[in-house]
Amino acid sequence: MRFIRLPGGMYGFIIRRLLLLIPIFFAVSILVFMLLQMTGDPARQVLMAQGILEPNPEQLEAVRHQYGYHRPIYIQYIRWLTGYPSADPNQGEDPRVMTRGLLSGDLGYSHKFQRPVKDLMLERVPNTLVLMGAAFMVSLAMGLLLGVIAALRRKTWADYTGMGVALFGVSIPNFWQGMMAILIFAIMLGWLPAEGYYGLKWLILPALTLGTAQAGSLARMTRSSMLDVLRQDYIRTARAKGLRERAVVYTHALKNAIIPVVTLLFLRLPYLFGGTVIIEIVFKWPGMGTLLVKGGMGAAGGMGKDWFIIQGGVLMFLVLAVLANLLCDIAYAYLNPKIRYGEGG
Amino acid sequence: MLGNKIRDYLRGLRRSPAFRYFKRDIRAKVGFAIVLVVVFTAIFASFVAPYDPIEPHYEDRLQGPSGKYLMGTDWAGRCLFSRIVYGTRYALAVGFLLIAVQASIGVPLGLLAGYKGGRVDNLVMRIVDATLAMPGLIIALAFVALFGPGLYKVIIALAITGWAGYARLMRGQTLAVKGETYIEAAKAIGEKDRTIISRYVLPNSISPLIVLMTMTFPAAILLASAMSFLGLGVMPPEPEWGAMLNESSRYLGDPMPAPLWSIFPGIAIIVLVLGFNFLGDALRDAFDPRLRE
Repeated sequence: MRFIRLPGGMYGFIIRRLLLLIPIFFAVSILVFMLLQMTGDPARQVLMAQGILEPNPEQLEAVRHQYGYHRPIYIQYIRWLTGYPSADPNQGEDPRVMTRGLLSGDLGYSHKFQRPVKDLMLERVPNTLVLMGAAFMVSLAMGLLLGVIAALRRKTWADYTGMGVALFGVSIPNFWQGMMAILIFAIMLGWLPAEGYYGLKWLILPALTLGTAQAGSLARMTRSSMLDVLRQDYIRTARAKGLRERAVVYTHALKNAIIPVVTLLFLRLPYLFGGTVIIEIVFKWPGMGTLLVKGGMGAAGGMGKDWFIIQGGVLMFLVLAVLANLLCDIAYAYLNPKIRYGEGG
Repeated sequence: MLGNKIRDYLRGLRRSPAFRYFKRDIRAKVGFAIVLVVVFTAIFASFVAPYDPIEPHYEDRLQGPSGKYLMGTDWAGRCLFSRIVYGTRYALAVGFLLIAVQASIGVPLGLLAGYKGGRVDNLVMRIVDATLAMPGLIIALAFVALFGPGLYKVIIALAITGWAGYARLMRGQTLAVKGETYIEAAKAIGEKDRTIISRYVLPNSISPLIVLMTMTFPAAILLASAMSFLGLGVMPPEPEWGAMLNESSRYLGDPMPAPLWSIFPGIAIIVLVLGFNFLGDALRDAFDPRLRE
């Protein structure tokens, strides 16, 4: 494969931007590490996850030493991140429960599920990515289609209906839309399954529900962007030189109108992550959102909290957000040379 | 002093073309009507609602709509209509309080960044960018997992990331105004920074600020109800719409189907959110002449 040719300044920009990931990663890791510390007493949380709701002082003290929570906080952080210094049996630290460090993939052991958090996540992350990917496609297709049609047929019934649907779409609570989808298509009509994920058929309802949440705002954005472009001089020029309307619309207008839409799409990815969590709960999707809310936070029918799971879930969504932001910046720099050479980095 | 300022502003607003445009906009009328009805329902909830929203009537559980219970009852026989009526209070409280908290963090920071420029601007905007890139709902859920559920905690949880939009808007507004001649003139006659900000910069940013507030209102309601739905917001039996849907979701189908219980609170959310979205769209179009035609 040939080396991809990028516009001038792009390599420098990407390298600067990748280097910036290092401090961001440290910030994210400190935030996630602090989650357990902010509960007040990590040892109590570990015991609660084991089902011991009212531990006595001896139990707390024992766990505190086993897990090394008696150490200064910076040592705990370094150990949580790297696994060093390793467990010291002289201080009562237990090498069997001691973390081997985030960098070697150890996120702790879930007493609720009797499994390492890493294994739980590895099973569920692909499911979440499948759901988000499908929803992303749905929102892109629906949003662009609705927006372009509304812009081209401006001030006709198609425009008003399309924009009405879009406004309705951004006004519906997505979880309620999911409940109604289950009610209509699974319970009343019996066409599609509503719970779990055992095949493509199970993907349809959650992906459509999650996708339409983004499609509304995307359609509104596409429409106004398209209208902006259609007003430009180069469109008039294209029409004046006798191009067919279809060529004007698709090659000249749409290509330019899509730039801000794509930017918006990437910028709104954090909303997609939040939306996934909710939709996974509605459709009992075996993904990270369900693991985080039900398994970790003990809500939506899950019993009791497990902070190692919460840490793992929050970490995953924060990392996804950082990556989405990186992609967004790179795409934006690619489209806008001013940023490449400027101060931004 | 402040009263005079507000009166002057309103007087100016009434004469502006934006207001005339706004007044003729059908969306503005519909949105305003919806919001007005909801506000009155919230204020006079105890007169509108026929029952106590939390009091159970176990002998009347899971009933359909009837003369006795306008929208039926839930699993404990609580009157759904009364619960939805009282739910308006939660929805409006979340909206207004969250906007107040977000704006009171974001607006001063944005002003500071835009007005001071340089290093301060750089630092504030770095934080703003990082905050905007974070998945707000997940941060909010983690906050509630830490500090427990409840209306006020939900508001704080959502404000952690929500202020950033206000900061960015205010910075942009401040930068746009900063270069104007009248600011230079004010500086030349020796006005203090505080006076310049409160007399020249802030008044010029009020219109876009109002638009942003109107637009974050529905988002606040949707997010807060989603958190309650997950069981990490306002908890049942409090009559919050999301919390009602949390309880009702187990009664969609067999063994005890009561789908109407799930339908009414959802419609309540949609109507209120739609009302604010109408208002927000109309305001934005009115204040932004480019969008008008």
